[in-house]
Amino acid sequence: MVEEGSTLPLPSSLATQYVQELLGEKIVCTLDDGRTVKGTFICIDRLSNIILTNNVVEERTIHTADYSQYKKSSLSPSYIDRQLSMKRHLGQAMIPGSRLVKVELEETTHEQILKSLARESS
Amino acid sequence: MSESNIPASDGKDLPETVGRDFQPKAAMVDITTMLKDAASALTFESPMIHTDSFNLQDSMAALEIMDQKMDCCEVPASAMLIEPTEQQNDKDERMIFPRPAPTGLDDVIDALPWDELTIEDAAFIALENVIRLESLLSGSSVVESTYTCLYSHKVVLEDMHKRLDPCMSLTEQMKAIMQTPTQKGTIAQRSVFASTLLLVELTDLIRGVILNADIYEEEDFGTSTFNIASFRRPSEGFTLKIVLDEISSIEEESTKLDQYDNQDAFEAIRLTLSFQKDLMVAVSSLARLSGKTIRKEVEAAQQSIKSAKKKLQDTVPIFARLKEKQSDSVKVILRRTFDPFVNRPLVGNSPVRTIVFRDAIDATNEMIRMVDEVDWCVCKVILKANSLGRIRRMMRPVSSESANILTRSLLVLNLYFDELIFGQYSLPEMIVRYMRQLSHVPDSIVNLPTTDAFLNRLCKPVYDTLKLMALNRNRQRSYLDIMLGDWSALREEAYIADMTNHQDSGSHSELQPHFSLYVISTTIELMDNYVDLGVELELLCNEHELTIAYWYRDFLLSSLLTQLNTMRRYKLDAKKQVHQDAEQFPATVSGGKPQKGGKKKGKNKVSVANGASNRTNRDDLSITPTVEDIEEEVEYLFLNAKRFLCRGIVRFFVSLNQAGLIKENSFDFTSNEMIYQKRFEPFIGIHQPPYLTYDDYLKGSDFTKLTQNNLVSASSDSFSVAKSLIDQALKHMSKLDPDFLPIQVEEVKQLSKVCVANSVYLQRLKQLTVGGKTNAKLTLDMATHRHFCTIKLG
Repeated sequence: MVEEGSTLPLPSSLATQYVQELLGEKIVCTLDDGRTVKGTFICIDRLSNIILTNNVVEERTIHTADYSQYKKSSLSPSYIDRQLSMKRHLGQAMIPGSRLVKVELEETTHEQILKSLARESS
Repeated sequence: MSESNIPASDGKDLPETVGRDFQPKAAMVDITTMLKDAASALTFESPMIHTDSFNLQDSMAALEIMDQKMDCCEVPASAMLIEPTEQQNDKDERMIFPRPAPTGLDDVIDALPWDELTIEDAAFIALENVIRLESLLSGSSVVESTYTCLYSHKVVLEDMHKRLDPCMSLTEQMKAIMQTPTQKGTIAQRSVFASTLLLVELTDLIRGVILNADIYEEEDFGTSTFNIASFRRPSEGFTLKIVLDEISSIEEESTKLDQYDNQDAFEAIRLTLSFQKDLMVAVSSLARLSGKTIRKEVEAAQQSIKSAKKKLQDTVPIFARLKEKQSDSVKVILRRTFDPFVNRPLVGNSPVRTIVFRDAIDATNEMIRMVDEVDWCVCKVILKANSLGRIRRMMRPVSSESANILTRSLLVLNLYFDELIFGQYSLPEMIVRYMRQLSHVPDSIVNLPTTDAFLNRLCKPVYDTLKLMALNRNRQRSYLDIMLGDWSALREEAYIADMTNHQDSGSHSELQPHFSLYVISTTIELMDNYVDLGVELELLCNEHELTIAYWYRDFLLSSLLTQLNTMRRYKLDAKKQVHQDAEQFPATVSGGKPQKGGKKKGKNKVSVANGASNRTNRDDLSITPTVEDIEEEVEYLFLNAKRFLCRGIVRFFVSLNQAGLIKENSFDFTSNEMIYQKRFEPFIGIHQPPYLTYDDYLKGSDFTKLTQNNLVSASSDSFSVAKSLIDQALKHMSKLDPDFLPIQVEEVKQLSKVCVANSVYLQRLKQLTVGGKTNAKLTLDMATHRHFCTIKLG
């Protein structure tokens, strides 16, 4: 039984119910190279591959050093590697489970789901 | 932790960030464990948790992030090196985001070469721009060609313009009023600016021409710009002025040079800029022809094209010399200036296209070929083709050589404008003259109102037959499908017109159905073209299908020749009549036109739509063949030769079948008859010539009553007759203008080779059958001629 106001982790038996309630909500996935992908959650499979839809936004950091390698090869000590954030908009995206590090949800949405589970279990 | 896992900074100390989300972050909860637990609880029977509306299409449409083949924004890090390593295809290779588009010359990612540009750099940048132009014309979209040059991006061009414009500030503008403004920047910088400006200008111009003509297909040209902004020229003629100033500046500078001092580089830039400028002038002129000065404008455009071609040809040895001495710094400059991945985020992922540019020599040669096409496909046709027959003959190579989309678009844009063919000739009048060329259409028929009406009705279908030749060769068949329906419907209207004309003219002689003959012969030509294309495009490719194709073509060509023979007979009879009259009544004949039936019509002149014909019927009936008569005669001979070639090939295939050298096709889900019906479906609705069924084919190709020897002899005879007709035609061809030949000399040689080769292999078949061998290797070779196969026996 899920109590209202309970914090993670929930029992595994309730995980499936939780994920079913999660369908249609906006989540943020972090991948192993540091990029984040935000979108509406519509599917997950056995391998934790996740499909997001509805104006999916991928955001990642790029390093200027990657695009000016001729300068690195001249071993310039004064070269400054800058980091910039790049955004990309996609219609629908699949996050490979093997590269998935973290999935986050807004706290308010999380609490709503828990309340809903609590109501069902009572 | 790998280099790629360096966490992003929080943005506080970065002066420039792109696309940063500055909304205050909501509190987030980590639910990773929850999801993974739920995923691990899934089974094979219930493998997914998904929404109700989720379906297979959603799962297929989703982009697999970080997949190297599917995700266009995964670029191997080694691709950014000056000399890419062999690790490019390694699965473990680090992948990075494509280089973002530049934001100016002082781009934060990597400043574009500017202050350090040398004249040698400028020469190679100009050459690379030509390679991009060639790629655009070969079918790449603008983001895969033009805008892989980082200088061509709008913000960079604006930046360059700002730095180089001698009248940018108020002070400079005041000075310019008082005296000639001094040029800003170095020659190398100005050359790069001019060359890039030309590339962008040509891109916009070419896109405009191709979109206006609207005959492109997906494989011809990428039309989407993916919302990439193009540099806005401040005024009309801006690019031309910049380029002309730069060319004269380079010419002036190169006169001061020592012979060892970068002369090649200066000359290379001058020639490349001149080539691009000439091409731009020619194409923009050809895209806007109008009014009474069309011939002058086309002649001027032709001169520009020839000049452009010459200049590009002259660059080849110069760049070859420059390449031998090319320094490493030039390679670095080119790498920094051209990036094939920069526009990847724009193009989407379906599918991820690998951009490949030809090497400099191949690209230049290809560009020379494309430029030459504009001359012979567009300028020559507009200037020389003055009859319908000649237009068809000159446009046929445009179709068969698969000319570039720009060339074909220019041809279509100029095919009919100002209500005239090529802006010069009335189409109804051209049709009448063509009909008179083929047959004898008396004035009494031409003058009738029903003739006017029918000629106007014929205009659009005739225009379509010309436009067809400018379409993509692979797609012509689908247009032919529609056109055959139109021409089939015209047959009845033609018959009614003939009947009405016959009655109205009051002629007591037998009905001569001129319009019907013309419509039927054109319909048969289209049908023959349809089958021909099926062979060329390998839609009909195995022995069985080719036998059917050639058998049907034999029938079609025979029908066409029958129609043509009837038309020629009418003309011959009319000629005899005229000359008999001339001998009997020389005084009358030298005066006005003969009035058949004795009736004088209210409208004596030819009131054919837009104008009166100045030529009398008598001009077409002179006893001495005109040049056009010889052209038509040559075309007739080749039609006959092709008919015999088809006949010979059919008999050859049947012989092979009888000898057991061709395996029978067997199908589980279809049959030979169903395939036949599908292949010739568009012919079902055509009444004349009648549609031939599969049973007709089986009966028509049944030579079981003939012995193998007789069959082989018949086939051999067909090839001999075809060869002799070709030789006969060749003799006439030497008297003709090469531009008006119905078939190019190269193709004539190919046809001869096919005749001879097939005859030789027929003898081989004879030897095999005499020897009782039935296991010879059979190969069909379409390399010699794309429409007629050589049947090789090994």
